[in-house]
Amino acid sequence: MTPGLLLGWSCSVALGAAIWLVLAGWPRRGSEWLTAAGYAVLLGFLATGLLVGLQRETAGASLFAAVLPWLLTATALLAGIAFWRQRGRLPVAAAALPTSPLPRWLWLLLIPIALRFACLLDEAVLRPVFVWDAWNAWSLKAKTWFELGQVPFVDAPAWWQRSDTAVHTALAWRYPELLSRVELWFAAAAGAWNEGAIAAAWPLLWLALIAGCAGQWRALGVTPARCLVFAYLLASLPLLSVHAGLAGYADLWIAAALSFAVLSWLRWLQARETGQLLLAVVCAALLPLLKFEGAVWLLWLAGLAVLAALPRRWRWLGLACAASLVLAALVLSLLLQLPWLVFVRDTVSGLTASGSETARLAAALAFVNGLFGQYNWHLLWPLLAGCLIWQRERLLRERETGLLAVLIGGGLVALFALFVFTPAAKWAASQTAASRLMLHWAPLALSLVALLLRDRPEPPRTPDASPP
Amino acid sequence: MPRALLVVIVAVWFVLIAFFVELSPFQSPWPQQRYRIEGAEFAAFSGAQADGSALAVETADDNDGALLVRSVDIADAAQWPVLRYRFAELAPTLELALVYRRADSPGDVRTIALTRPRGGVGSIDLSREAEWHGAISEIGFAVYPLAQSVPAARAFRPFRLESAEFWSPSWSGRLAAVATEWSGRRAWSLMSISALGPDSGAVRTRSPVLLLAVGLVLTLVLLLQFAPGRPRQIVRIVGVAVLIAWGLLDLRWSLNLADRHAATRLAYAGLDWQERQRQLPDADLLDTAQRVRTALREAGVDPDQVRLLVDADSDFVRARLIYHLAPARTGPLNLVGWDGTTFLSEPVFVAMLVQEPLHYDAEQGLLQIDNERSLPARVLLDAPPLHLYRLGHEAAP
Repeated sequence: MTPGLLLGWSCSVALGAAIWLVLAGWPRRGSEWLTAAGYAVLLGFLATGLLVGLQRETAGASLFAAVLPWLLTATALLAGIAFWRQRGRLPVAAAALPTSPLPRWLWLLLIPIALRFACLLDEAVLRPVFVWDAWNAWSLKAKTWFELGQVPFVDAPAWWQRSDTAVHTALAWRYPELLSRVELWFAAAAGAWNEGAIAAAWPLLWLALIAGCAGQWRALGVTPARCLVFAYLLASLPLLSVHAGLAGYADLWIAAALSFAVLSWLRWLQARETGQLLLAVVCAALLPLLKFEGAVWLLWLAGLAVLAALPRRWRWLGLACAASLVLAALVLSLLLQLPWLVFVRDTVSGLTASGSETARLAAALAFVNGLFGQYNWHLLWPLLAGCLIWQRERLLRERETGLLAVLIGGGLVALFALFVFTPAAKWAASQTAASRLMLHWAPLALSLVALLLRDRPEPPRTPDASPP
Repeated sequence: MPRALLVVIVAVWFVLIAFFVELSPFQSPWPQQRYRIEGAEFAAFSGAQADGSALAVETADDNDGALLVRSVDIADAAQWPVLRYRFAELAPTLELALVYRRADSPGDVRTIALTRPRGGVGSIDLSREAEWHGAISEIGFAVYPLAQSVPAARAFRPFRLESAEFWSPSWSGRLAAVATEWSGRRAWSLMSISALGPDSGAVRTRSPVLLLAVGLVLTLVLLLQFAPGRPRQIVRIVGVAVLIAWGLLDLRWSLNLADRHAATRLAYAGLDWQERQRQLPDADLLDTAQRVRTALREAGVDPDQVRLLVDADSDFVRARLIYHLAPARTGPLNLVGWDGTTFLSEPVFVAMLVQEPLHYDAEQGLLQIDNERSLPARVLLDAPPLHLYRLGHEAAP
């Protein structure tokens, strides 16, 4: 680890912390510090990536010096706004949430989390970029930009036709570029195209995801003891660990952004904390900047959130309007031959990939096997299914729990439909994509288990209900 | 909880385990016959010597591994379906395979990948392998660097082959084979980022995750059916059982992750980052990319400015070569095609890493793209399988 890299991490996390402070205010409980720390890493890294996009001409290590003033200015500005809003109001500790004492032996669960983190960090730092899409999609652009500045990546016809020698192409030319810019930032901070230094961001994000989720579970009423147990369960999920150790894919970032967006939204639903709604919006807005699937999850989350916010009598009208809008957009796109339709068709039909179509039944079995049979998730999905059956009445009684179940159910249905009823089935059968996309929903699935198993809130003590 | 219910639950778990392990009711609990071969009875092509009853392999052969073989006279392979193999100090950077010849086709060497066992002894149930039949004339073990995840030059470490033993069919043989598969040491592969299980070669056994899930569901059903009046106790029992099952799976995964990480440490620990980025499993492709860049510079062009078409025999090699060539202005041939070469006045370069190159007519200076099309070209580098051409009219002689 070089001093530059440490400075790069610190500045990015400070920016993320400033964003948290502006949106959600000063943390007032112990668990909120944990949440803030988790969100600060995700928001800070991605906000830095956005700032890197403003300095397209600069290449190499000098990019660090070019971006740093922007980063520090943004941090100072946001921190200033946060402190201005906080002026005259010293951060006071909020009333502690009702809780039972935490058995000391439970703290031992932090040991496996710490050991896992150390192992994953060492793995990520030691191993040069390894897994396929990491170098084929995200690092190829970042490596090119590190040497040449942020040259444009275009499609094949444009690459042939444009005389500009700076124009590049690649198989993944149309992938969202934010993650490549995050990689570029850490390379610049390290002073060289140092793949280990870049990869360290993934284990840090893994830890941030666990911290952020644990803090939000606590705020949503899960007891500290169960938060600790569920934090261990989240850290133990094998495929999540793999994405931290074999750094380079965007799926862990999608999982973190989606989880943080949804958990903040649930907090807003439960306690109407405006800051949490703003955090949900910011985290959700980052999704399409990371990966195409992020745009789909954003639409689904936004649609459900709007539907949930509508008064009950307007919901059917809202649904009809949404369906009409989607239909109109499709028809208009068809008439105007907009390129996104071609892209979706190509992706779903597999024109951009090799392989042959597979029988739907085999694809469905492979999809289910990825959830229940392989070593990817331990017992997460059977546990979720069992808890949903056991605590089914809570889905109707507790609004946020029910909405989370609907959200996850919609995500799973979308993935199942994609991998079973479209030619993308070959990716399910070959086990190359289905479980990776399930990773986006795994932290939320565990969150749903945590909410289903939380203690039932005691009935409010109103004057009428009080004993005389 | 009634004692009878406890007995039923234990019985259900035994039946489930037998089903998931695929025990045959027609086999004996213990092997009736054993055929043991000491490690020292195997011969290596180089770098090995007998060490007591074991064979110590101190140095790697030309392929960065070792091949240990011995003649056998097994009349009917079906009578010996279980192979137990005992290695000592086998590095996590090495893979292991059984090699054998059948008497009916002595010219063919057949291989079966073996799982590296967690303890000293591993087992495999060969009755599930389609090619394991007939008379066997020779067996051996191939030890070689992990194919995708470690640099071959840094993989080998000395090890010892202690013994190999064939068993006749039995429950204990099948149980030992399943235990090896469920607990074996695994290594990273490109597939690991997508799914764990299929990333370690052929899946030979039913899933222990599914076994635990089904067992827990059946336990819950039995408890609800026969002890319905005690919901709190049932919740507590099932909760503890789930945590234990989860803990067992996590213990397995933690050991598995430690094995994978051990291979990484063995390959890369102690090297600085520049050296780590040179010591790659595909270091030959990195060298190839350097040669292409050097050849382009020698031809008087900047590799980051000119259009460089890249092709190879596989998608992986093509994509990987492009990554190593970055920041060159590459165009994967499967994406950009040849069409643009016909209307451009500026030169275009082509790097091909292929076993069967395009036909090049040196006299006319034409590169034959397909039956209908040839392009004026000049060879810049001809070092099979690497071929580098400069396209364009001014390139032709």
